[in-house]
Amino acid sequence: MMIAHVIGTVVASKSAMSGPFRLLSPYGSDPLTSACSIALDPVGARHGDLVLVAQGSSCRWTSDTDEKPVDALIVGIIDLIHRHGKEVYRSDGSGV
Amino acid sequence: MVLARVIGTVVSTAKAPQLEGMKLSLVEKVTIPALQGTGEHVVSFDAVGANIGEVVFCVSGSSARMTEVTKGKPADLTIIAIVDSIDAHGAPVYRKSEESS
Repeated sequence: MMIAHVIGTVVASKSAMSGPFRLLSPYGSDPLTSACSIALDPVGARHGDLVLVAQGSSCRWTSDTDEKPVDALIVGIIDLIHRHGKEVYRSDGSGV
Repeated sequence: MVLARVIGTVVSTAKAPQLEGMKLSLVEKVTIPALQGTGEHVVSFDAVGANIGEVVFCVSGSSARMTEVTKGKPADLTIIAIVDSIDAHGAPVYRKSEESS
């Protein structure tokens, strides 16, 4: 799964799939030069949260998204990341 | 899904029979917050009837077949929504109602 920052929200009333939809900045990418990705958000992520994003057909393996046209799905809000035994990220729970 | 702007249409006469009568849109992926084109142009099916100039988002891969329009078709990219508004970093970056087309 991809790790990404939630940087905003997209509203679309004429849509084949109901939202909410979040704007994502994949961890380590430059949002100013790369195409912006969007994910469906059933977990209530907020601006500033670091989230887990499932991509591809695996996104359709939930009751809400079964047979729906969705290819990116926020499946979790990250609390903590440890790398090589060291804490590299901890959410304070407030978003930004 | 990926954010893009509809910049044209594509017509093809010699094509797979499943594509008969299907609208093909030319879209360019865009950045945030400026909504500038990245130069990456792709051809997309359209499940919502987007017009040229509109900001949309497209679903790719096998999920592109999960609309009424594209069911059972050889589609790998489909416009599934026309964007009304975008907020990023707490500020409005796009309002469809304010854009002159």
